[in-house]
Amino acid sequence: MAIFSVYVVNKAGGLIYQLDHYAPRADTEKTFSFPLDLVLRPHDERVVVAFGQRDGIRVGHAVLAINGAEVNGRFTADGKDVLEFLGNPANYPVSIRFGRHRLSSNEKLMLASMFHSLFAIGSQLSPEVGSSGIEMLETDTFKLHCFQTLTGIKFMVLADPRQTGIDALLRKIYEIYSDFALKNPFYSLEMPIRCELFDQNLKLALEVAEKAGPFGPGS
Amino acid sequence: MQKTEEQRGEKRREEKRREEKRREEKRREEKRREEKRREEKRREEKRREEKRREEKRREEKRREEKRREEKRREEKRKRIEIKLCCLRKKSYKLTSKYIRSYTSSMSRSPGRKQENHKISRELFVLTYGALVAQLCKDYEKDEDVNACLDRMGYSIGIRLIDDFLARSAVKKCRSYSETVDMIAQVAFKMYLGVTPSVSCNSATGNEFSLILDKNPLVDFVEELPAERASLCYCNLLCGVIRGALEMVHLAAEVSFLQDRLKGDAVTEIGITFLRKPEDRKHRRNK
Repeated sequence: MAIFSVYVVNKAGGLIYQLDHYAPRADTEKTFSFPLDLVLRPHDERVVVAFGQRDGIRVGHAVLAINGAEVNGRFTADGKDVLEFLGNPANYPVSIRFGRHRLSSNEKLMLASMFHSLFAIGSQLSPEVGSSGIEMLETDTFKLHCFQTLTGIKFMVLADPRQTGIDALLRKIYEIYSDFALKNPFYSLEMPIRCELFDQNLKLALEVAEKAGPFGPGS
Repeated sequence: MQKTEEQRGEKRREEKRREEKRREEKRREEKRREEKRREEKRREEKRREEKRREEKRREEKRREEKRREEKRREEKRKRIEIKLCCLRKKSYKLTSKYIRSYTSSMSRSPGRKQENHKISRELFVLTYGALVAQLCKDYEKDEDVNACLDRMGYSIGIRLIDDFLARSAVKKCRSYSETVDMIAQVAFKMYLGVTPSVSCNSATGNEFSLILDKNPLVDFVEELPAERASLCYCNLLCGVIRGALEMVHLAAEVSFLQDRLKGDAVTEIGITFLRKPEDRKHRRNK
């Protein structure tokens, strides 16, 4: 029962606040000997598994650390290219940690803006007149709940599919936003929220919602 | 001679038989009447029984109702007691008026914690008065002061609208008149404690006015000084309404149409929506 993250998007579609409350880390660290039976290829700034799922290492997982030292994009901590390093039999046996890469803040900004557009498209595509945008997106590993206020601010919560009480949580986040972000005289509207009190109260609210668990009030 | 004796005997027997018959008849009549009376009595009894049962049921219902009322009042009293205890523990000097108004508005928002303590109304009114007085010292012209108050009110309104929507959880308004009703009955009540009355001024449904008979901001103001004759003392309120409406994508012009401080009978705030009512249907749903 967990709430994974909270996103707040302003009227223009820009991400103004993001909190990763709980990230299920699914790392796998394994020792390999030459030759490597996974096929790796570079993708963006990372080295990802292209073929060869085994033991929890799935396609799309990125190389996170080699021999305990975290990799820096496509280069090891020492500055060597990862693919070169792993192509050299002299370096084996080597222990590599694979896992889903964390989203960088730029990626989060992009994804939030994309969701903002999809939200608007959703409301346009709807056969019913006067419907709202996307309120919930359900997958088998998480549910994304979105609440748009009448002023155009969107609050998105990614949570475990079994978590209940997210609607009430979204309203509560709106209250916290109107209290600690808007009433702060030095906070400009539509700008990224950098208010300590907002952070603290949001985390408290998330903890309360998580504790209520699957038997919480309504959904 | 015997015949006449016999005849008389016959006659007498006849007479007797008829007598008998009549008596029989009478007895039967009597019996029937008796029966009828007994029937009547039984029906009467039944009706009375029914009535008594009805009465009993009504009594029971009334008692049930009373018990429920009592329960509700007890619960209310307990809740008020708890709240009063918490309030007394605090070190603020709260006037009794505020304790009553606080407890009566308990059901506002379940998520609110006890930190929602009130500040003295006098402090707020004095602060506003000091603000206007300082602006009058800073600016010579009334229009400048009015414009400044309007701008301040605007920056308050753009933030206050989210607070209002979060606390009151109202649904989207479908028409201008619904919007103005919401402002008058919910927003004013929530923030200033007064409920202005709404009237529609124009046939096109664009212009409305809020008539305030009680304005807490001017509690301590008697009249405007002679050199500030065109000052709109409460222009902040106009800015607040304008800012709030703008954040929900409703462009409006808000101004004072009448002002008690300037000698008019009532204080009237006029709200003019700038877009035509038909345009609302084509507005993209947010």
